[in-house]
Amino acid sequence: MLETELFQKTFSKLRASPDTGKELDFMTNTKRQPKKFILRKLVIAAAVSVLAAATALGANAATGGELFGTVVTYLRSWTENGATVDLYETEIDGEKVYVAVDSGAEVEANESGVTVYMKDEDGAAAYLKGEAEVTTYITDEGGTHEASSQPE
Amino acid sequence: MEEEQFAQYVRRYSDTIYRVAFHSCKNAADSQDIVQNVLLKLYREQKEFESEEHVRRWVIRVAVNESKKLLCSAWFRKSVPLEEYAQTLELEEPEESTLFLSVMSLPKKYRVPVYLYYYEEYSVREISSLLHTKESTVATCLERARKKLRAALCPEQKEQTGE
Repeated sequence: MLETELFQKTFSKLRASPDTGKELDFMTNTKRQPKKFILRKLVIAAAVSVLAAATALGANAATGGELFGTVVTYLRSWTENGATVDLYETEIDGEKVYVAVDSGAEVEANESGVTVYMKDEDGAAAYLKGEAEVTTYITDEGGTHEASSQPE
Repeated sequence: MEEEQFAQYVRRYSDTIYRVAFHSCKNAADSQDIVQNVLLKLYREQKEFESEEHVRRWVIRVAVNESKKLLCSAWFRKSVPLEEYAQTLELEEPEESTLFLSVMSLPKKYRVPVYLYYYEEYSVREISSLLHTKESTVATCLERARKKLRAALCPEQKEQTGE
């Protein structure tokens, strides 16, 4: 007979990461950081199901990336915390890279990485899967300039 | 949802969700992702929960669903071998380690019912409701799992009975 006590003693050692609270705090409280660009590898609830759906949906026409020879494909959008997020897929060094950006931002890619053009300083972007060098520019009435903060 | 309420839920249910997820996917990184996914869904959930037990069942059900989704998606990671992961758990007794590895070697369809029955102490009826499956199916899974675990944990007994 399987002992409940032994089972509970054994599997009580199986625990979630102690950082769970901190990561969730970030996801639920940080829609935008003013004048700070945050780039993190996020795994968001919507994104997991989005990616599962995206592989079945197929890609839309490429945007922008063809100028640099690397196709960037818009996949789909979703709304999170009142903000619309666009999901793009590209391929760098043979690896798929997925980038989520504030809706309206433009995404380009080349062999060295991904470039995101935001509309304002409060914009945010995150890559969901894959590793890539991401550079962010802000396009406003002052012209186009690199985002003021370094990615985390 | 109120921040304080949510923080309480995170403290209270993170480990439960992790354990359910781990029994499903046997992978620490994916299990942690599922924890985040489920808790984010909980944060966004509009409906009022009737009781703490209602919340607990809700998170378990969503964890099971999220685990199934993950297993269906192409989003897989390389996983650490279970023996290696077991060493990080600081299991004190050899029988704990044997039990952990034995449970993880069970077929997937047995692992979550076994966890819900022996750890969360849900009844067969409650497990069938949580997993949207028949009570007879749950009972069969548990019985088959017990046989396999008995054989793994007490091999001498198996020899004596000549099974």
